[in-house]
Amino acid sequence: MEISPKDLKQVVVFQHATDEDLNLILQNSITRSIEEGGFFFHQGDDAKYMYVLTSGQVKLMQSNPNGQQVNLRTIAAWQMFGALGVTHSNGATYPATAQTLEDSTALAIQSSFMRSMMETRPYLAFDLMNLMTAYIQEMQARYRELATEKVEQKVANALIRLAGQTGIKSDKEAGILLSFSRQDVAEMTGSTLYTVSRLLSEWERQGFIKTGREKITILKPHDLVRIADGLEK
Amino acid sequence: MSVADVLKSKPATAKFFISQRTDCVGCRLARFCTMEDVIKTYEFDEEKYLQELSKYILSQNLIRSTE
Repeated sequence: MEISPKDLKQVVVFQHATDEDLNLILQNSITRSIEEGGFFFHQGDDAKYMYVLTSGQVKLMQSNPNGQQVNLRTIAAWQMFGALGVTHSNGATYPATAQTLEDSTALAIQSSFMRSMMETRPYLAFDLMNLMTAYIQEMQARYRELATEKVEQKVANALIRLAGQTGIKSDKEAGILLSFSRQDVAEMTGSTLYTVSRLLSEWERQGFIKTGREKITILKPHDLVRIADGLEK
Repeated sequence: MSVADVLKSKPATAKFFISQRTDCVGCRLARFCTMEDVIKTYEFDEEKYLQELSKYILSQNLIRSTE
């Protein structure tokens, strides 16, 4: 497939590029086609090229030394990936592996060439910065979700454990009575009193529990179990 | 009678709970919930639910096995 400057305009980072810029980019790039399940690059490879996917689908994944993998994102046509080498002058390596989910073709642009273009064309650099900040914000949101989810699950699990071992079904309170304070729960979960209080207040507002002096009543065991198991509420 | 009692005395009812798409089987708080709580929590139609349960109990001969 012949790629035209007009095609490249669809790439976020190239949206303000001139036709002249885009022709230069095309002249300094090669097309690479990879079969389904193949790799454009592996984590740790020299980041010599940045890529623009022109067809197919690619997943970016990272693995830890034990081989556990995390999918970072999925790249669709006309999205850029592996652009790290552009901003690092030398010795940059890809922080993730790019594997195709179907037969895919991408334009491989020399990182060093792209860097030299950006030095004289701030609009390209700014668009790349916009893309990068969007990624950072996305990651921050995911990090926040992961961090808070964990505490939420921990506290819910602690309450369920306590209920299972010491809970008393109270008809008067229409729930399961626990004789523990917020401080007890904070200590059990290695969390802070502030965090536990915030969570318990939120659950109380939703009607899952009721709190009193040195006591917590589980009103909706089902909802608490769903939280503890990390299922949707 | 709690859900835990039901499951303990008649383990075969696990299939029924699963077929109704409830999370009761394996739930750590099953001993605190009655069948009534299950119907309320999942907003089942009480009459229909009890009919299904009776039908299941009969089809599995669960009552006879208690004798």
